[in-house]
Amino acid sequence: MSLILEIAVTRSSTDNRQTIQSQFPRPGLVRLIVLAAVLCSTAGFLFYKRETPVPVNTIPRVDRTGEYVSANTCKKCHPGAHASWHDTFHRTMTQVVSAETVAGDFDGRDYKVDDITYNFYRDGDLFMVDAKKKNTMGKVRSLPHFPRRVVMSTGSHHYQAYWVPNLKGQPIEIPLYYNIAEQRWIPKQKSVIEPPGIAGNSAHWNSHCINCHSTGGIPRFDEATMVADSSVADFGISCEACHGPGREHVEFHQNAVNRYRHHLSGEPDPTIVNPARCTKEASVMICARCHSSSQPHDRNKAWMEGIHFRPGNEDIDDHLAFADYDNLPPVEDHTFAKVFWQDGTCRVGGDEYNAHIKSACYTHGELTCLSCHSMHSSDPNDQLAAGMDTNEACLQCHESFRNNLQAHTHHAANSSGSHCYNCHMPNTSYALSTAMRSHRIDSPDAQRSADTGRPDACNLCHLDQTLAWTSQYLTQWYGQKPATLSEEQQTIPASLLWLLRGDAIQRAVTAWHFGWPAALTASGNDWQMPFLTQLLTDNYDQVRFIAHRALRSFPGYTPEQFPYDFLAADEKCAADQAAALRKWAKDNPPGSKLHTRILELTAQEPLALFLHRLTESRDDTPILIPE
Amino acid sequence: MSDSQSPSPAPSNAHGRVIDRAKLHLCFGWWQLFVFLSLGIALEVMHGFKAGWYLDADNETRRLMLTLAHTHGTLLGLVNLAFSWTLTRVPQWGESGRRLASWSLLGASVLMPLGFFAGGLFPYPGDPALGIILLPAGAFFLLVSIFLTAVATSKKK
Repeated sequence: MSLILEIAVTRSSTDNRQTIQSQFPRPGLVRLIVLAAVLCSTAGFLFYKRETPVPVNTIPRVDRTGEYVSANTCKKCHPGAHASWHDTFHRTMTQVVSAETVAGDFDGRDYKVDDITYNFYRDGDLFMVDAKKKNTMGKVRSLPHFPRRVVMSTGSHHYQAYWVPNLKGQPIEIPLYYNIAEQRWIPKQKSVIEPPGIAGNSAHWNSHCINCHSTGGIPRFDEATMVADSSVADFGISCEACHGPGREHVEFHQNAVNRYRHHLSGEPDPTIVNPARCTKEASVMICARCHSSSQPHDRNKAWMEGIHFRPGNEDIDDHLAFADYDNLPPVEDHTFAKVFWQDGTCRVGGDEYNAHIKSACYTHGELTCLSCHSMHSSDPNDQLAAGMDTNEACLQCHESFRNNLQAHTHHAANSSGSHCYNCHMPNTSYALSTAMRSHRIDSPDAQRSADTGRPDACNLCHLDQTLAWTSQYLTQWYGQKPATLSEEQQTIPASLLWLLRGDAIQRAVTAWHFGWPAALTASGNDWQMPFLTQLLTDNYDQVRFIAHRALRSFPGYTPEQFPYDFLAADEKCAADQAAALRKWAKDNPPGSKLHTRILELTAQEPLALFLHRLTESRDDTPILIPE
Repeated sequence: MSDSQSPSPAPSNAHGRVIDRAKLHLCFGWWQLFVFLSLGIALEVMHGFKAGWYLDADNETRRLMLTLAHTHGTLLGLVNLAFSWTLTRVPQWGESGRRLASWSLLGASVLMPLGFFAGGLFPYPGDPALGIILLPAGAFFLLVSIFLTAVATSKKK
């Protein structure tokens, strides 16, 4: 605008120079106008507000013209089923960002990840993120095309991750997750079990997440250009993810005669899948499509066309290769290598299928996911059907134990030791900053635990007991062969060996149990603090986090009394750890009851030496758990 | 001597039948109002106690059918009262037409709310139970009755 003005003024002054000069001999006026124009241009440049980039094509298209019809169509005839599904976290797995869907604090504060500072804020109805970094001149500047509009979110239960358009307009993950329980932003690499110091990566929604975090997703992802033209029928996991595509069903039932003929026949509807009426193999495969450690046989085909497995079929093995401990690729750092305990039990929460199919209840029985879980009549937290959080789950088949439970468990009938899950499905899987129940249903075995490092149920509750103690009782009560154990396994509580010397998963899982109410009831709740304190400087951030979360439930270590932050610098964490240990030593001098108790647990070795010795011999095998 | 001083003549047979028919609809209408307003109160009570059998999302079809049974029953009760009044106001209405309209209205008054009620008691998922087939029959009778009544009231003396 100012340029046009300048040209116009100049041209005008040239054409009519003589006339103007004769009539208005004031060249200063022209200069003044030019100066004003320059000032206006400069001001416009300085105060120009860039428009928020609109994420054209970043959010996958919603396409319901194919075999998928969407949950809204199902709702018309199945309002109850729709309402119960609507309450689940499956529905909100992927959402378009709006005030109703965002859990994170977009409060304008800075959060640093490596050398980039992120700032989440609101701009009217928009949710924005800025990313700034020091340039070579030492000035802090926004990265190219930042601030960007946050367009999608993943998760709504434990964590929420956010997606912004990358330079090609494709959804790419912001490397900070919002931890909903803690109500704080945590860098992605510190939110998962990941070896310290490895380069972070940013997930690509269109190629990976779409297959399980949407319904009817077709990636159309071109690896060469890293650009996708993805479409979904529903964001999140909706009706057709479990019941199969609904187009045929809808078209068939639009005819009232067909509907009433079906109502009166009482036969299964051939146009839709009811997982409860499938064979056990087909039923568990419906969940296995996503709740498993697996990957497509043909990655490029999957990136283009999606995964063609359909509920009700038993051909999932034709589409996905499931991680199998006995047939792992001979590659040391293969993705699946650390997914298992050394007895082949899957130890990643969310990947239950790999464990489930190794359970005798499945191989020799009829156990399916729906034996305990329900999408429509359950608590959204674990999707357990009514009553299935009690022994009723197992008594469905093992009815003979109903009236002689105590004779079988050797624990008081109303105690956590008589809760079937606690012994046969201990919390030995890790995911989402917590320990989760193993879905390989089996019985405690001290020898197996000693040989494979998979924590056994007894010692995850009786934190102060050794594997030898466990073996003795398992022999006495159930006739198990006495375990062959090392001297340490005979003298030091198994939980301490896992906690201080285990690999990252053993440490995380055991630290979680140090805050588990059932374990604290069984083993006392006054001696765990110095051992948990040792993990406050663990080289895995998640282990620090879980240990501190357990620690802060003890008196004297609440956030107000002990303001530790696992995200703080290593030096600060070490200082906090030292302060906590000093406090423990001061509160429990030699000769005190707890000091004596600790010496019993460490086989009379001084606490500091014990902690140092075990930590020095810790299993630091790099472990990356794909979540 | 004026007419008013002479004793009233005994009603003719035809007039008597009209009166009888009007009384029938009057009686039927009031009782129908009583029954279906009672149903309305029952439905309100179920709202009051948040009865899942009636209010749960899965029972949407039942809720719709029972509500329709209540509204149709009540309105048809009012139609019966109006029909009763109409009978006394249209002396030129032929016997056969009047009888057909009357029976059709009575049939509709029974079949329509009953169809909704039976369809809603134990519905199929997303569909009313088979009792709903009473509804179209009742709707047909209602249409016949209303048409005959409209024609009769349109005739000049």
